[in-house]
Amino acid sequence: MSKYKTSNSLQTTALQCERGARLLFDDIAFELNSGEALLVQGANGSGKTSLLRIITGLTPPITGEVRWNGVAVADDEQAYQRELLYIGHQAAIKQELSVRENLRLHYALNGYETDSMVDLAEKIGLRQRLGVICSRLSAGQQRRVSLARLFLSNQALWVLDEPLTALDVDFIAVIEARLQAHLASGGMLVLTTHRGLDLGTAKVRNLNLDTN
Amino acid sequence: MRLFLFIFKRDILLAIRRRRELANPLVFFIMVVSMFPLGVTPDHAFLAELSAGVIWVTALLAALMSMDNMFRSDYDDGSLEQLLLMPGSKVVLISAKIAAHWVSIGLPLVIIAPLMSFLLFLPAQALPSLIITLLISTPILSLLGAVGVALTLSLRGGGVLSSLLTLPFYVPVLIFSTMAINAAAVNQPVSGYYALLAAFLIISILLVPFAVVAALRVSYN
Amino acid sequence: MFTFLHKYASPQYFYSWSANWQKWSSVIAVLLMSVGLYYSLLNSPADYQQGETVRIMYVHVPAAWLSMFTYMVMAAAAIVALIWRIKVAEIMIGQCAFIGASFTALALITGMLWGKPMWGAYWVWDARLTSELVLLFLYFGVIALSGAFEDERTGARAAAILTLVGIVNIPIIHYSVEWWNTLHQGPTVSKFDSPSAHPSMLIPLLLMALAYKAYFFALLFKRARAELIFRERNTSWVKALLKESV
Repeated sequence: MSKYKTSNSLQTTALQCERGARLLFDDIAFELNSGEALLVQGANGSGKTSLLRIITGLTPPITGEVRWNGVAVADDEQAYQRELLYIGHQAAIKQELSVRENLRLHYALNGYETDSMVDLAEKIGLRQRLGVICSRLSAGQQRRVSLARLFLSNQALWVLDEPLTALDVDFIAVIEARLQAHLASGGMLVLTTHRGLDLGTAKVRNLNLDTN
Repeated sequence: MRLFLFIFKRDILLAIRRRRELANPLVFFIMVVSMFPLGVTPDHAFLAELSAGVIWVTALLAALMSMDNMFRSDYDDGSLEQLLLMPGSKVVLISAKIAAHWVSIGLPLVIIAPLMSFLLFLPAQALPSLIITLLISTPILSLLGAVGVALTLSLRGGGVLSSLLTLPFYVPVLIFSTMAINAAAVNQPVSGYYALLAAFLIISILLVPFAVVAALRVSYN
Repeated sequence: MFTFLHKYASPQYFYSWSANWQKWSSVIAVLLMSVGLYYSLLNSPADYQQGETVRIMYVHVPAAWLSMFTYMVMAAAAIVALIWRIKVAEIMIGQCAFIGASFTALALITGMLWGKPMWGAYWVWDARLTSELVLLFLYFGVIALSGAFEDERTGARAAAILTLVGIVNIPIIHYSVEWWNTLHQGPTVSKFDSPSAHPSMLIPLLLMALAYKAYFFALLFKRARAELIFRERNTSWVKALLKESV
């Protein structure tokens, strides 16, 4: 397991987001340090996905900024993106490609290989299906492919939007274990989820968008 | 460079997997070119005079039709987000995608253009000119089209709007290409036109990807 | 230095200082237009070839000049909007697109009206008219794009990018259309260029051009202010303003 810099921090100041003419949230500020997790909650439509998109830098906020280790993300995007792993709502896998071919992109995204393809497939429980075209997999299996990056990643900050969607109970446990290991070795986590998630002994902060 | 090749090869692989869709612009090209003799006149001399422009405009339309798939599928399944978050040059990445799109859509059009020239009686001496102008221009079309697609990616009626936005920018390419072909048809010198088109291509390759990346960011606003 | 600009560009501040500019532009526009029209229609010579119909030139040529000028202003607003994200600049893009399209349409229509007595045809594919037509398409593109987004600020950013791609392309388009036109030149030479600079024709032309420019600014500010008030309708300063004026 790779070690992360123990002094990473993610800060936001006064984030604001609008969708059309509607103000989704205003003045979101938090600070997250190594080994901590931020759990974002709120009703459907309260802006959880938008907040995560702002944190990743995909969407610029109307006001406020996101800082990684003191430097605004907008100022040094590359440094931030090297440390960032984002798994969004959508599976982000190509339906026309096989599991193996999709995993190859994950190797490219993460920039290095430790596991062999077969071992990685083993970890996500799809070893027998490496050559299968993804359109023939179930939604849960497709999500497993997109979550494979969690097992490859050497990035310090993980931003996950509803990572447990469509997963069965066994695999949820596998993911939880992986998240706990990530936090234990100094990683950071921001995630949204509708179901309860066991993150072990890590420090978890809560952010509820309904109250903002 | 490695990033470019990786994305390029991946997009080509995707195009191969979707090869049935790729035939559509080619069939469109053939059918619409055939409409002209049917709708206007099969007269040899008349068609020969029209042929350069008709083939060219139809190739343009066929390319426009399939411009959308440059980013559409990646946008819809979330892959584009991931690509935009990769550390490394976004411009190189986008250039790779545009290049792959040209190879899968533009290049086939160039390859079947000679067939179209037979249907419309393009003078034989103009044929090399047709191929060369299309070869230089179709990448320009892919590049400019990419801007339109990137700007309209998040819109529902995106496809038609993107074509409307990019069509005016095609006017110079259209004019210089057809002038070159018509000059070749009467054995006039064409190298000046080629030089202009090549210059336009080089400028587009250097500048347009930046505009496309900016436009993609707007789509994620 | 730019913090100083930001202050002038804030919606509230802009609304107050633009009031004067708008008023004075309107006054100047009316004055210049009256003088200009007097000279164009009454006090300038008729063309020895075209007769009285040459007077359409005084309306057509400034319209064409303004259609290009408006695009420049739009491009400048686009740069400001993209780099500094200033709301007023974003509004300017949309307004310039509308005003520019109107001037272009005016140039085209007056061009057609001029063409009929000259060549018996409402439309000719001459270089100037064809260029104006393509310009009209570019304006339509900007208008369509900025209006297609649910969030108007995103629409303005998209329109800004399109405008800047356009500004690079416009010289190329213009040049290619000129070249195309010389190749396909019919027996008639374009009469749409301003006739050789005789002061009695040049002065009214320049007066009209200045009048159009003043009108452009008057119109731009008026419309921009109206849209600004609408967009900022939920802010405290607008609410206070509305309360005062009632």
